[in-house]
Amino acid sequence: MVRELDALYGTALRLCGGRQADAEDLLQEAVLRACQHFGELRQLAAGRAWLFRILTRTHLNRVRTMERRRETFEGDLDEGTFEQALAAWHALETRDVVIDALLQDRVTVAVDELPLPMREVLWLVDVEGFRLREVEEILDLPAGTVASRLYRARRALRDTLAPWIVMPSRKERKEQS
Amino acid sequence: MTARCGEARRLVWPDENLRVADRELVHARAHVAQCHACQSFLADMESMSNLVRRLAPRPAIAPSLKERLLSTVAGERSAAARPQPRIPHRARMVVAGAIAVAALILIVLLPTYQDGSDETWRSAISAIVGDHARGLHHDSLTTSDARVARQWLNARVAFGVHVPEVNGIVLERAEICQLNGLRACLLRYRVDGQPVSYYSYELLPNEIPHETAASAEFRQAEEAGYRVVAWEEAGVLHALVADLPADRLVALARVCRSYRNRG
Repeated sequence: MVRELDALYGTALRLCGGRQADAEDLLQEAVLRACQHFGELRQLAAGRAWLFRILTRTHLNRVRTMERRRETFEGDLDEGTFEQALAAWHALETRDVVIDALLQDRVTVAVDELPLPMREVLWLVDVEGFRLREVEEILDLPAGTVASRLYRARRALRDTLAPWIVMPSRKERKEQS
Repeated sequence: MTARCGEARRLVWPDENLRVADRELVHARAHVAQCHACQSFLADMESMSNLVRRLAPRPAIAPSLKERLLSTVAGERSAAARPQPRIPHRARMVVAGAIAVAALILIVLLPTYQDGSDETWRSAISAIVGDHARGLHHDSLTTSDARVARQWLNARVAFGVHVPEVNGIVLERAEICQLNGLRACLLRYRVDGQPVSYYSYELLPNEIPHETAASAEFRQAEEAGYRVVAWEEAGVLHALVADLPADRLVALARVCRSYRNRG
């Protein structure tokens, strides 16, 4: 657990939309819960996902306490709609100049501005590196929902960051691969 | 872009969907291999993922917060390390409730219990010695006849009175006195030329000593130069007071007690 504290804190911070005090409280509560329920962890190998599950559950409980959050994110897509959305992806254009330092702030803001259901999926997959199935378990979501939320989160980020994003050209991608 | 792009992307992105049949996946992969739009989509998704991974803030946890969390962990560990009774939660609650009730009963009854033992004895002995030492004459009947004395006393108190008749012990008088606010019987004897007072009075229910086997024997005390041997029987306190050797007084007490039981 100690090894994961930084990652847990980073996630807590994003779940709380960058509010440091809330993130600290959330992490404290989650760590306490993890200690109290350690006996329920069946496989140590799954410990990391288990910790993030506790963190996100704790956050959800806190959010529910504040505002009776609905179980289903109203923007979840059914399979057909999701396929249409996937097909509608417009390829990114490549640009020449970007300053990472500036973009980093914009990414932080853009992530924090995402609706929580998208934000938590994006963070767990892209930053913490969990696979889809793991995220489904962490967030207790049905199959397919995580993918659609991830897709929409990336699309929203792309729309927000498009003016500053530099994507490698096809030539560069081929060279990289 | 074709109508199959959406389905193919759903099946192969972000993780290959292992829940679907192999045949569907094979078709999806085959489509992506030929579709530049889908290849571009997958590349963009990967680029976006890399972008977020590379640029997302990863703040290190503040040392003070880390310390606080570690102490939380340590506290929970030590709490978990403490041996816990292997009793179900409900049983623990029942036991805790029983302990609480027992404690409450003890708190309520403890003063009574103490009054019924040491305090009762101390108070009684002190009153008896004081009365004996003052040598006051109360409401009395001067008689050496034990039967007459018993009748007289039994007419004045609520408990049964026995008047021992023992060779060498002379009954001089029967009296009714007040000890600690209670009506008591007093038999005045003379033994070996010394005055001996035999007091008896009924204890209040909360004053009755909780005797153990070890303490069921006589209580002996010495106060103001007088020796006292006392005992309790059927809620009645009996005491002999005299300026006599202890063994002699105890022997008399045994006679009185056996006589009473015999009667």
